[in-house]
Amino acid sequence: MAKRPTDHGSARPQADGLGDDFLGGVFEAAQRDAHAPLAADLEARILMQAAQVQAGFTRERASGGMMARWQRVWADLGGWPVITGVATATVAGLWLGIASPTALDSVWSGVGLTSASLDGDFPDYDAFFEEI
Amino acid sequence: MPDPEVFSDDALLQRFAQGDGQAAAMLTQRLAPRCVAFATRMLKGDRAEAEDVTQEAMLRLWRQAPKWDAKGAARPGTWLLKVAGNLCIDRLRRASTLDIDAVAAPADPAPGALAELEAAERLSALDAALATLPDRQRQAVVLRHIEGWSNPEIATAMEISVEATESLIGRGKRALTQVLAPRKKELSDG
Repeated sequence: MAKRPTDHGSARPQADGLGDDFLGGVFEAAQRDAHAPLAADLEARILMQAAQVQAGFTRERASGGMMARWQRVWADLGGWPVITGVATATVAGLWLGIASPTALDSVWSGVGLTSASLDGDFPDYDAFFEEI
Repeated sequence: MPDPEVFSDDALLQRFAQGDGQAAAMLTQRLAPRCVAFATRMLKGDRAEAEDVTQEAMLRLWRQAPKWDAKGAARPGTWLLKVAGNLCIDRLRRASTLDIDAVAAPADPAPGALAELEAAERLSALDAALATLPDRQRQAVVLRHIEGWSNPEIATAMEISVEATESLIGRGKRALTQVLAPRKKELSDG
């Protein structure tokens, strides 16, 4: 079956013989039709909504937009010094968790303690496991 | 007040986004009447519903203003009619359980005298005939032959292929011809 030529808007005669001239004339009347002026109440509603939307744009600009809001939250939390402290504590905690006890001797020795000296400082838990 | 001869619809929309209230009034005057006329045809002559659709479509245009790409392919007027068309289709679907792409039965030939028609009567006859078409056919025919859009523009707005657009328009025009045929002589005069 032969492919129909592509029509991107050109007029083609109708198979029933009435032709596009007939419809074309009717459509031309519609194209020439001067659109009725907008009803006053409709125009007023459209413009009222426009003003409301525009007021929202103004508020957004006055507050500096989304970036300004995040900057205010950041400042309220304390800014970079807070983040620095949190980061330091996080790294220290991680190191304490993975480091072996003897590796901490260099830390405790600074305060006069070693892992050996700590051994006797803790209660003997054997008593807890004796049958009563 | 912005000079209407200088500012395009795109420029007016950008001025609106920047806070120019006069831009809103000018855009409304330029775009809303055509939107009401288009929506009225889409909604089979229901002007009250058409005005509601126009109000909703204009609201969406206002909200779109800050993001509007003046260098993009769409113009505010075509964007507005695309949105209005979708809103009309939604309302027609809610109002009817019929398949909107189904072929409608042709209307009975209008009874009455064969008086010579003036332009307003030709328009009235066309609108009545358009109302008999399935919704998507009517939308495609109105956009093509009254609003003057190209088939690719219509395809983009209706989110269908160009071939499907041509098919809708072809079927719509054949149906219109069938409906208007009994009054061909009157509609061709003058």
